[in-house]
Amino acid sequence: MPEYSLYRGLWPQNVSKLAKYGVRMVNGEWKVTVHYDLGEGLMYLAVEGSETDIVDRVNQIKQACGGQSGGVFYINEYHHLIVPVAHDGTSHYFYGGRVNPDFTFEFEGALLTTKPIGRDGQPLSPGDPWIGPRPGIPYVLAAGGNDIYFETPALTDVAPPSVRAGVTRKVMLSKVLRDPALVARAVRPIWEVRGHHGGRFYVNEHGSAFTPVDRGDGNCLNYIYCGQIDPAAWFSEPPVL
Amino acid sequence: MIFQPEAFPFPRWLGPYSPARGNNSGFRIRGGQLGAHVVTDGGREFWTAQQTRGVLDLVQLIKAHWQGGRIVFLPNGFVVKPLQKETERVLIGRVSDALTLNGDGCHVLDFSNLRYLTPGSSWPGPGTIGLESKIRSDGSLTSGWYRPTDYGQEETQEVIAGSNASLLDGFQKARPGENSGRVRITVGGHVITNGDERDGSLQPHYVGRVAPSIFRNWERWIEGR
Repeated sequence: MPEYSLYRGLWPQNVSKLAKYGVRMVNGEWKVTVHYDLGEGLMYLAVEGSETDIVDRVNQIKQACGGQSGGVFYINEYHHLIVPVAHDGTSHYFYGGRVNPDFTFEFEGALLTTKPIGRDGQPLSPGDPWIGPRPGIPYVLAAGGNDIYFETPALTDVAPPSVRAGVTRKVMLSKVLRDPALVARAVRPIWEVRGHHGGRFYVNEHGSAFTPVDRGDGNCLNYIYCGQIDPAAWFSEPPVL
Repeated sequence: MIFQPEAFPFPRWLGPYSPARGNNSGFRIRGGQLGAHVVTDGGREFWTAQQTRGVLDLVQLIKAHWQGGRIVFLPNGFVVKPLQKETERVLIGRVSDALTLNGDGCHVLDFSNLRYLTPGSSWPGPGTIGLESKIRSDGSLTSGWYRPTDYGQEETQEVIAGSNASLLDGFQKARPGENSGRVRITVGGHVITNGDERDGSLQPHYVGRVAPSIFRNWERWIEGR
């Protein structure tokens, strides 16, 4: 059985159910699923077609690392498959290799995609509602709106890495890029939606950034498409084996 | 007070630490004297440390390297000096034995003799000294601190003292109705917290004491150069 290593990049941790992919048993078959909510209650959708490779990888990691088949996983903007496994009351996130899926989900007779495409098949523009499934990796536009950061548990530098108990890394784009013009380029599309208060936004496997905003009725959140991240003005890809 | 300086260059300190809360918080070297500000009915006073050999050695060391500024006495006896903008901290030495602060008039605060203080009573000294910490509902103490890195910062949360029913009892006497909150662990392991007064102000109160010997294994946060 292969040995899996803890993932050295961002561990999503506390995100909403909508921000996670899951492997579930659907009609006797393990399938990739997402939770979906358009304001009419939470449901889950199963991926159309076959993505058995991802399903198998997720289940192998869950089993190999002490868990059981099925459960949550993530795919980030670097196409890294990240699989959390519960461990001592918390979750450790393992690297599951590179993947490049093109998930589609059927909803009310139409196909939903995680690409920035509207129901009419036309590309979304920044500021449009994000109607697709919402799995993604959480980042934060800093208060003041002039930086982006993420927080994740710190790992040891040795191989294989282990968790440094109680230690959290806060990684700031301004420190990573050290170029104010590049930081401004990265921040701008998020700032256009969230403003100087900042707040959380998500980036999915296609590099699409979207963010929840208050719908105004006190009940629900709308998700707004912010645009595509620019890899030249973004966090560097975490090291993987 | 006995002061044992660290060898120069001073090692980096990566462990528990509390940042400054304004220009008058914590222990400071001012006008060539070690002391801390105390808010009294008459205003803010700078209470100075009794000039023992150890205090003089500490002041001399600070003056030689930085002229003055803030220092942090950790409850295990480590003395930490924040450098510019607090982006780096160094361990400058270790203290043991008594420290006494002299205030205006006849005020004296001898950290080695505070047995007259009962948990919940007013704290008769500086309220902004010591290591910021949080007491939890089992009386244990946690501390959180950060250090800047080249990618941003690293934040650490650590349980620094285990469950302690009598400490929690003291906290609840100082802040009735609460079972967790912020405290400061000062010289000698004396714990204080800010409690609400009837006039709405916050005043420091005595919570109790933890033995400095429980803060073990802090050497691991010393990074030599």
